[in-house]
Amino acid sequence: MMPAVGWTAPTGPAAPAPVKSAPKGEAQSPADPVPALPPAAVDVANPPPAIDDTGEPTPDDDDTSAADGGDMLADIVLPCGVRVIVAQDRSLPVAAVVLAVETGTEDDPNDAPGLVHALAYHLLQGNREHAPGGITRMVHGGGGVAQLAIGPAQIRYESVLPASMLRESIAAEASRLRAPTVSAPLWNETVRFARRDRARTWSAPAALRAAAHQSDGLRHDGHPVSEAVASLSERAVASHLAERFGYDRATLVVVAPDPPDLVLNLAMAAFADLPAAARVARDRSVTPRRGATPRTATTQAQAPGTFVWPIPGDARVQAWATVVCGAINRLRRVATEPARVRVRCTIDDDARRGVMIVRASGADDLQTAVRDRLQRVRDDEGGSLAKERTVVAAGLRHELRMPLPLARHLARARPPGPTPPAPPLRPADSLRGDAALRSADATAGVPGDVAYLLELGAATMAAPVDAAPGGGTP
Amino acid sequence: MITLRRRPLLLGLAAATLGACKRNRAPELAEVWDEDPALARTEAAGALAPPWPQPVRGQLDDGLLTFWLHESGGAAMHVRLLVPTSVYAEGPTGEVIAIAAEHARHEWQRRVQRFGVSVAIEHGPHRVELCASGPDTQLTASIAALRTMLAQRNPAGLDGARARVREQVPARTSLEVAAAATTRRLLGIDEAVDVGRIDALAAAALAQQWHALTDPRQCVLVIHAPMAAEDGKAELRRLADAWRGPDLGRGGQAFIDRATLRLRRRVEFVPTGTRLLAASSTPLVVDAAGRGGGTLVLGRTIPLGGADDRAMARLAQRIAQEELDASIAICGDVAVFLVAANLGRGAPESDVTQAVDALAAIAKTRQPRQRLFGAVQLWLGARVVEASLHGEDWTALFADAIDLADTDAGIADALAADAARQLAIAPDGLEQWTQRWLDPRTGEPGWAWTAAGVDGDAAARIERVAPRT
Repeated sequence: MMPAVGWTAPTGPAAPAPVKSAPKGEAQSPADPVPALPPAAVDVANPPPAIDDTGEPTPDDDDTSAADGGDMLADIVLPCGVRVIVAQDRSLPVAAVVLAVETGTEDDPNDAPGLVHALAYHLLQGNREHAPGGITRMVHGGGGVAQLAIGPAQIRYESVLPASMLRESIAAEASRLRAPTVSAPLWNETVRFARRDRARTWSAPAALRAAAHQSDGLRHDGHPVSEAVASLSERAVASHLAERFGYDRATLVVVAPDPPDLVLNLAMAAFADLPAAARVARDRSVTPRRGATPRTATTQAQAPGTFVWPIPGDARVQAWATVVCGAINRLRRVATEPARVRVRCTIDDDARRGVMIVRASGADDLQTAVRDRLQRVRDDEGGSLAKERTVVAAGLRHELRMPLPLARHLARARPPGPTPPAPPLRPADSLRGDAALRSADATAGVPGDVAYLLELGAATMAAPVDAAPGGGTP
Repeated sequence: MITLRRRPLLLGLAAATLGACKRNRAPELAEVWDEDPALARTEAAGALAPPWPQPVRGQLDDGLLTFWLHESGGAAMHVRLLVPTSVYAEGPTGEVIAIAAEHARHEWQRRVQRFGVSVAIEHGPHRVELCASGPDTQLTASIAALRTMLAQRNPAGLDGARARVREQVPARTSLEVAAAATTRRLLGIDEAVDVGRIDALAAAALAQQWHALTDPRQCVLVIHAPMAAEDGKAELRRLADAWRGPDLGRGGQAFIDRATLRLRRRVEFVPTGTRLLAASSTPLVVDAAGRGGGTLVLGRTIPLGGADDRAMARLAQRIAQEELDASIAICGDVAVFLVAANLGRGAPESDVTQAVDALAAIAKTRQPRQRLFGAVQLWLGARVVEASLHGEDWTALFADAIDLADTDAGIADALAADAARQLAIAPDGLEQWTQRWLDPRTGEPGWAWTAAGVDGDAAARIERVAPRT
């Protein structure tokens, strides 16, 4: 069944291409470094009205203001289920192309730890269009770099390459997940590569992160490839790949010097021959827990006084979490606190499963010590929130000036709901965390959906194995 | 902590290329055809140059040349000070350069640390580059810190820099020893850093050399920022007021008002006039120093008549680099071409012969058109990708462009013009050029070579094929 999408693309190469997107000032000047882009297949600058589930046009809230000025980005879900985000960076003739798949090591079956990790590596082994390692070689041959990032809930194939290779790169990413080549020798090689990969070191114990995100899959490392995985048959490997790595749970992010509408047309052409599919990727964010006291989770790690808050997969909330954490660290000990009290905050950053960690020590009642600090941040003592917000926004703006960091950042965009984003062209700031911190709303303090980071009841507290009441949760 | 240390001249000349170019085995080459690449691909590759506008060029009252690259809407600023090190025949030694560069980095860094700006030392051909990078809002503060650092009449921190350099200089590898010795033979200058010579430097002489090195009449400042040049005039004026070069007296040397000339060495050097493993063979320099296994470095200087020669030299190096550990440093009208090879313990003499034979074979081979295009595409693409990954710093690319330009007015277009020239090179033309300049047996004479890190036994075996000095 055709999914309800706010935007429809041509369904095949033979689709008529009568409309050229309207030029918009500097973005489409003749000096644009990459020529030979295809004619625009659709007019994304002036899209037809979006259609909702009822078949009625939906209002285009910000369309007019967005199109009038400033940088724009394209954000659209294509009929085949892939989400495409395109942003522009004209500083150098360089493009970043990131294919983010919303699956990860937390999705490993209980009896096959390391499966997703190995499968992610296997997608470097080519398909009918590319030889094993072919896409990587293509990128390297053009002077670019390619890398793979494997996380608990998102896997990214990242490349930075000269803009002259943009078309080939988009086509390659539009082909990567299609019928990957599977054979016993290739799988053995994949497993060997995957086993060389080192696991990431997290600050918070796995049990705490799992409890905070309410996901049992986070309890295991996910990097070591088990024998059960290594001994999978070709048929099983192909089946697992088809089940977990489809474009209906993927997002293609492109940051290039060319105008977003032109690049979007490249992407649409590359995906045009895929059959329609409903988008499978879901928002894994948990609803923050409310209450007066934190829940406890048992952990083998020595982590008394450790409190963990989940950070959802959303660039805006992640930016705010960094602000809150920094504001906590700005606070100084007050006279009523014992001299040895220490409260420090850190972030375990991740696209989808990040956590904010507060460690307290030196107090008889650690919960009270942390609760007091959170209250002082809520009260914006000494303007710490405003100061930290300025620092974090400036740091993010500085970092996101480059294509690859920006593409990674955009890949963190919260998965769209049943109604995909519309219109496809939106202000570039709409998906950036630094822009959220600079907005007028941000000056009013921590937004409502981020306020849980300042509530102790929303946290998960570490407890030794023998100390947790009832053996801990969940 | 010293982020970048002074290295022998080789690394100063070719830091970006030699390490990155190292290959232990030839890559698997796909079958290629001797036909022209598609026009669209050629045009796209030729467009791989920064989209910068013409820079605003200025010459300050103190003689400093400035280039201001304006990028509207950028979020970062970069300030790069280019300090030539080999302008005079009596140029500073490697130790002086290393200490002066470390002193400048440290003093500049500590003044901008709190603004989130980082200062790094980088090396170009015959020069040291100091680059401050950070948020665009800190441009004025960074130039002000540079002014304060350079305005010091009595640089008290030089002793501290001397101590840091002494601690940070690692034991030299055989590759570094061999490359430094070969370059010394080719250019007649020695910029290697010797720990033993660091302590022997007199404080007064060091201070004098510091002032000579940082003479604004010899330096070039490149700025890349979203701030317009007009808005930065006041800060540059303050910089010129505070930073003055040493008084040269009435007969003092007039300064050069062109960046393309300021940054190029003007020392006359005498080519060796000999070849390798040929009738009039260059004697091999053998040095036991250097950690790691034995390494052979052979090389030559190549006079470059103009932009076409520069493009040819670069493409020839890229082709050779696919099979050998070859590097080249191009600076105006001269290039230094080096090839490094490992010397095994079993048969070092055959390794020496193989290295020369391999280079000679490449020099005599006509390369298919598609292979040339692939090499150019890789080089042009890697250049912009590296710049992107390192912070989209236009000043680094602009410094490269200075080396490729004939005039200051041509700097802005030099990278694009160089790309177009490389893409236009025909296989026959390249073959003729490489036969003349890269064949160590039968080409133009002017070769030098050094084997380092070899023991007495290996040296004796090498001597069977290559006479020693």
